[in-house]
Amino acid sequence: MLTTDKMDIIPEKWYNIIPDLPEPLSPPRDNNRDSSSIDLLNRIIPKEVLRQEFTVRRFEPIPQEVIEGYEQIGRPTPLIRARNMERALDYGGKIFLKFEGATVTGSHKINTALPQAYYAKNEGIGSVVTETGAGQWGTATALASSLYGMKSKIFMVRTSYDQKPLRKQIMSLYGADVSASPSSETEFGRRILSSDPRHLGTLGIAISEAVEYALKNDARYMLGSVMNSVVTHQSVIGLETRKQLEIAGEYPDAMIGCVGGGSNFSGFTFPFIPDGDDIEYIASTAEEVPKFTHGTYKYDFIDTAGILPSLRMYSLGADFVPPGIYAGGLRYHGAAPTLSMLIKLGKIRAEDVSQAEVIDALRFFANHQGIVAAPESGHAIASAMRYANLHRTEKKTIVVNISGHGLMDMKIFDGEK
Amino acid sequence: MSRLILYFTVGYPDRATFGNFVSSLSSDSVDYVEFGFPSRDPKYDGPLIRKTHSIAEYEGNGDYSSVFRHIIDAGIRAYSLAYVSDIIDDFSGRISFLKDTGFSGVLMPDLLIDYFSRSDELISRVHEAGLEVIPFFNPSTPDRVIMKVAGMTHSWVYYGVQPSTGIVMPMDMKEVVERIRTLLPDREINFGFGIRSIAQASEIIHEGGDGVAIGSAFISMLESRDIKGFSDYISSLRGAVDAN
Repeated sequence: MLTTDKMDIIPEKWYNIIPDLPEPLSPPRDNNRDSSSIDLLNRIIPKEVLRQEFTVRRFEPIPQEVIEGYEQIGRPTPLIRARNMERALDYGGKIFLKFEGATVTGSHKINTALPQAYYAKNEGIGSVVTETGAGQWGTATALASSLYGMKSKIFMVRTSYDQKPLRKQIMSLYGADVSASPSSETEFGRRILSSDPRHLGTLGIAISEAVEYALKNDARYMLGSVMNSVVTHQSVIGLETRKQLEIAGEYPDAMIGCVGGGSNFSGFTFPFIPDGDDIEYIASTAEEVPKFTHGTYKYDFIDTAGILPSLRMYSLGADFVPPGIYAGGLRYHGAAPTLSMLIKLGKIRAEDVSQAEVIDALRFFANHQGIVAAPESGHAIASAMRYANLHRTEKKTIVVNISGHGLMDMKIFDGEK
Repeated sequence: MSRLILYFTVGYPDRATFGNFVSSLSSDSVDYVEFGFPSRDPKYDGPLIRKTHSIAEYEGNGDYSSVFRHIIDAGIRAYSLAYVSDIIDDFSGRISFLKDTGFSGVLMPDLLIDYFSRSDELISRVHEAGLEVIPFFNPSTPDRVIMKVAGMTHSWVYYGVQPSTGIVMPMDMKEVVERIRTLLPDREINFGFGIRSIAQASEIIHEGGDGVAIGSAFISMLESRDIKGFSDYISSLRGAVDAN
């Protein structure tokens, strides 16, 4: 692990890629002729977050209170030279791991939960609401709102709610009110349950419930991924990685991460994109949710109910119901518009990994590096292992973002030897 | 003097009212008029302007030639605002009509979004016909795209400050104006999309904008056929933008 003064590593500004994109980003679009779902954002998103969503700034100053918050929750996260993994793979180059699982909530999600909660609190807001798939975003929201003295309401996708009771317990410990989604607490949830009382739930449905709740309870909705402002906040990962690599005298040949909505991958890689085309970027997704390889690049709903504006992105369709895979964070039907554009233009390569390959990779990773990584991050590890095997003798430097730990996802190994 | 630009959806709310309002304009108060040709899918407009597209009385290019001529003869420059998706099937025909009628140029809000890969070709075709292309930029337009498209065109620039017409998101106007001004220091830059009040218009001019485009803000006057209120509003607007 590299060590230096923490505050030399944590950046003072986030990076917003939009001014540096190769093509204009398509704007959000309204879904209805008679009302504006874009305007609706004014009612549910903290003003400062909205300003950042549409900002022209390339670099956004991080408030000092948020920088201190980052330090409190474990930033900078470590960059680890994965020597054991290199040896076990007989790899001739270097592998570095950016370990977001080292934050107190166990994933990168707290990187944007903190500033969003901070801005909401500054605007006098008393409560926030959001959805969660794997539970990591809900955990981050629960902690961030608690730190700033606000209540939180979390709609957790039912399949994760059932698979990960510990996640619910942690959110409750932080003071959150957690419901399984679809729930009977919203009109949209009741409508889904009336047609299928045993619906597994999707992130799109949970988002719809959270937005409905925000509108009816004057709460602010916390954005977990996909949106530009979230990607900007998550750039703290890539900006730290750049500094840590500089200290180590290294520069990546390949950067690999997993993609659900795209925020950890984008935050990790985007600060490097303006450097040019020397780095290979690999976005690893679940074979069961093949949004980039089998999805369509089009305007689609963010949420299943179509309350929020539509975005141009790779999507499997807002009504896509994925299988109940363990990597709940990767079950989302779409991905960040900025990331989607860069994949469409061939700047970033996407590859699908099966759950079976992910379990093997997680086991290998735990045995050799000692880290029990999240199932979502297991996709990035599997892709990194593929890459290392293909480039065994080329001495390339691979940097992998391990977006979270998997200490509460051990059920994935049930039935394994 | 600052530029004042008015937007009308052609034929809204009806043939007579549209004609009366447009005919009331003079070059003393208004510099340019954008004529929005009714679209099947005004995809990047807000609900107010979308509604005008669905209600407008419009039956084709030549329908309002006399109204357009009136503006042009009054010394006000006329610009067409049309989505490429609506005109692409008869692009040359539409451009020829605009040129023959006396329009100065065209704005195409979806050109750099949905037709980016064809934008060089379409800009060239408009130029070859003798019309200007007004580059349409917004906060999501990357710097390199702004520089490239600005370099291919010679007219003033339309900068849409909001993601949709008539929608007001939190925005640091000073920062928005400064960014585009830094990239294009010598270009006439006029701002529109989401400018709903005289105070907002005044702020943009104060921050360094060359002009403002107004549309959604006077739709209610069109609907109530309040031409006197409209004239007073335009006078106030003119006074406010010139006061900076």
